[in-house]
Amino acid sequence: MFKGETRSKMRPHEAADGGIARTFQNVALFRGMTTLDNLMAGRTLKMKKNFFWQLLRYGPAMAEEVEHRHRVEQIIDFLKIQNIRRTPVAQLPYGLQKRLELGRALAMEPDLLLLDEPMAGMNLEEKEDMSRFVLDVNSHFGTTIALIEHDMGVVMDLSDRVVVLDHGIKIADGTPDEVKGNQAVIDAYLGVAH
Amino acid sequence: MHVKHLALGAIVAAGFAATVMATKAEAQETIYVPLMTYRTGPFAGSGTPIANGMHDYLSMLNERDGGIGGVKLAIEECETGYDTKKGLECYEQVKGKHPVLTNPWSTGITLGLIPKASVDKIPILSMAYGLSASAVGNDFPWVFNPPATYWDGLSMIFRYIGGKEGGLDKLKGKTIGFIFFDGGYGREPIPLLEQYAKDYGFEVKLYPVPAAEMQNQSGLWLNVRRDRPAWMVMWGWGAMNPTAVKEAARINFPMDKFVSIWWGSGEDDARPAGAEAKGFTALNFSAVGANFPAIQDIVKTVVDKGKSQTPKEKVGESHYNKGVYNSVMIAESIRNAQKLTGKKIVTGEDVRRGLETMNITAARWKELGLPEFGSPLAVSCADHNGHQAAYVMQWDGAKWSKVSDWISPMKEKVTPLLDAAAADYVSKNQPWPKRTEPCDKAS
Amino acid sequence: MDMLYKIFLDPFVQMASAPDLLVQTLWEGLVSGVLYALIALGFVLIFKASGVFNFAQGIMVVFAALTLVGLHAMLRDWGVSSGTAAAYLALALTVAVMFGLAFTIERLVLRPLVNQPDIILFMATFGMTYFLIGLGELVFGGEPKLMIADDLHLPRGAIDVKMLGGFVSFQKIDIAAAAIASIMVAGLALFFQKTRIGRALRAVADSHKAALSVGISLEQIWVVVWFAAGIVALVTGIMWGARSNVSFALEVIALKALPVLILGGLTSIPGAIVGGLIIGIGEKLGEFYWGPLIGSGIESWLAYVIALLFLLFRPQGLFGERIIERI
Repeated sequence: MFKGETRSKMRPHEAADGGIARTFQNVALFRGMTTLDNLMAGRTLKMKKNFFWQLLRYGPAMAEEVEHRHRVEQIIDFLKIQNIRRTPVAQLPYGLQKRLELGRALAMEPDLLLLDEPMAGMNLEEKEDMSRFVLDVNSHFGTTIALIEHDMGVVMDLSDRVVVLDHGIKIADGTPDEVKGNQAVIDAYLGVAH
Repeated sequence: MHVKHLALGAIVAAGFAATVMATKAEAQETIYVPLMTYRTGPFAGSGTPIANGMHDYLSMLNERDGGIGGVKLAIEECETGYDTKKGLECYEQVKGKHPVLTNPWSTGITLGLIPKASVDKIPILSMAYGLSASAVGNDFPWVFNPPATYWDGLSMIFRYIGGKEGGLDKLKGKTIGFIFFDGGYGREPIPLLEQYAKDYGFEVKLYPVPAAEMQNQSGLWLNVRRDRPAWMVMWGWGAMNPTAVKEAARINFPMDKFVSIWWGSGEDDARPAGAEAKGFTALNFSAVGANFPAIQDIVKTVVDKGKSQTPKEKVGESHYNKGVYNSVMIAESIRNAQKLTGKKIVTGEDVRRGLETMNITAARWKELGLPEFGSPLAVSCADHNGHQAAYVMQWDGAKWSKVSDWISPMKEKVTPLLDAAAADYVSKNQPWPKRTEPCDKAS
Repeated sequence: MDMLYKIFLDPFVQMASAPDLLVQTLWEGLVSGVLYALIALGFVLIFKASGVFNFAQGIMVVFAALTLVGLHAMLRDWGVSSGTAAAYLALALTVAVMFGLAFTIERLVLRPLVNQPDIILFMATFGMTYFLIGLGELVFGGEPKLMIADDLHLPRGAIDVKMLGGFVSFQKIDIAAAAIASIMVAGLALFFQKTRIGRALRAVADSHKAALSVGISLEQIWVVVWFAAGIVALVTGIMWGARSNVSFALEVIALKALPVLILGGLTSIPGAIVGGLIIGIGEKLGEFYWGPLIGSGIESWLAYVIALLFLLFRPQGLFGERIIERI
């Protein structure tokens, strides 16, 4: 259920159109493009000037370009990645790539943000940075965030509500405190003889 | 035809493998004449007018005379795209319908069909192309290549050049360039060319044009500019010809020193270069123009009735008339076969005899409504070619005009080469069947 | 020794002794190179965006040129008295037809086959080839036609410059071809670098998955690239058609793009451009100075030799990125 509609099946760009943005477990950035271009790509749906203006790259298309560049700069400031603006992303360290992916999703100004293991493969410091950004996004932009994560510490610290799945079956659903005490969750995590 | 290709495209696009053949209703009492043609592909520029000429003359006989000897001809085209593989497929398709002869219209297809002809009893008529050696009737009873071989053609070109230079011995120390389609067809005249070089003391420069480079000859013509040949001789086909003519004009090669074999004598070969091609010459064996009673009959009974794909203004063009020439030979050989056998519906075996007794005299050309359309043409059991005369014509910037008399080939140079080549073919293709077919007296 | 001399010394002696011919050869190479680059660009655009090696690129060149010439003839028949007006009207209509073609291909071929293996899409482009041959013949006829170079006001004739003890002849049409192709390549580069759709296209080329997640519509991008490839095909068809004529033989010209693609890589626009120039100049020099040693007509395979020699030293192609897989 999202915005009063049940969606069992939808095309990817309909999802994006409907205000859902996501990141990937394995980073899926546009590796050949710069940080700036990656973020601008996130603005695609917000830019409406048609093909022929684009061809001319003049007048309305130019004005639009400038406006969106402004919004992208705000995101760059927010994520503190000013110094890598023009770097091709393939050359960035892993942690920054993850952060940039979050930035690209933010550039879409989503209502719902899906984060697929945003801390996967990160060291402690990087995880702390990322956690802070996730919280800031929530408080700053009021974006609903759904994240998938294995690191229980991170999950418990960040979340308002936790759902636990074990082999695709829901075994718990509630506040972090409720879930923490749930016997099924403890069993699934620590392992018991079945 | 066009609709057929479109349908073909759509079907292939949909992922089905299908062969579409528009088979016209084929009644028992017809003579089946398949025409292997190509109106598509890189060589369509040369193939389309020839296909039109062949098709229209035979259709005219059906419309005007009700066929030949009162029997209608069942004419069917099969598209080869000048591709040997597709051509052989066409042959397999038509073989079962008892064709009286085949016209492969490609040297590659002809070479593929030569071993099959005597087995299937279907004679091959390869008009001035194919295997030159097949002129030797004793070795190739089922193959005919009138009115002249490529070696005849080259010898006629040299007679012409000799006339312009004031004697072939004047070529001593000069360079002659030979630009040719890099394939069996283009390489065919090289042995004779080299022999001429030895005999008259000139140097030969070879400029091969691979199929993929037909429209990309600028590098090659730079070589010509450096080598400064006194004459350029061309053995080209399809899109190669107009490109070569344009490139020759670009390097300011004197166009009247640029001579092509008959397959470069189409309007579409010279026209793209327009006025710059002025002076370009080509050998030809059939007349150009629509000013013949028989061709006017084609216009009246076929083209004007909408039974042809030919635009009216293209009737009578150079390659179109070669197609007509080809169909005249088909018709004459069927007529001869009917006379020889007394049958109305003739078979491939009968038409082979008809081809062997073909004799189109000047009077016969006139009777056919084609006075002076070609030089007199006579084929015999031993000589399946005829080695007939051709003439040179010149592009004046807008059209071809005849600039020489009929030139006869140098038979004394050509015949030994033909005999040697035929013997060579036979020895390389053992066991090659001995001729058992009896020889008819000319009807 | 004699052979070594002929291979390693004589050509350079010739270059020095007849510098006008060297300049001419380089010029011819440059012009061919620009045109090869243009053809290769058509392949690269489509491969980058949709991962399809477009077998139909060659026939698109023919189809675009045929459409232009055919529409011109039709407009004249319908009473457009000025050849120039008819030519430019036909040009505009041809651009529209190429857009329609791109749209149709996306709807009828690419969209239904999305997520199929690449080989299926490749086969589909075979089908398109035959369809376009049939359509072109049905509408405009299969016989060769003259390019309407005069009505398009493409220049004619040559400028012969006396220099270096001889003369170098610059065909005006070649100068125009080189200029137009360069402007087009520059325009395309700017478009892809600086606009939203260009950025989206690069995004799609980089990662379909990520592009979908930010809401880029693959369908729209496909239409755009096929349209761009169609325009490239049209320009190629006009330029090459003016050098000989407009016939289905032009299709073979697309083969010239293959060594360029081997050299430049299937995904690199700069690769297509630089690769085209290297192949064009390399093969003309080779044909002119070394060709006569082995009987001329070596252009068709020399291009592949040049491409393979480069690959020995740069296996990733000219501008290809080194692929390092992380396991």
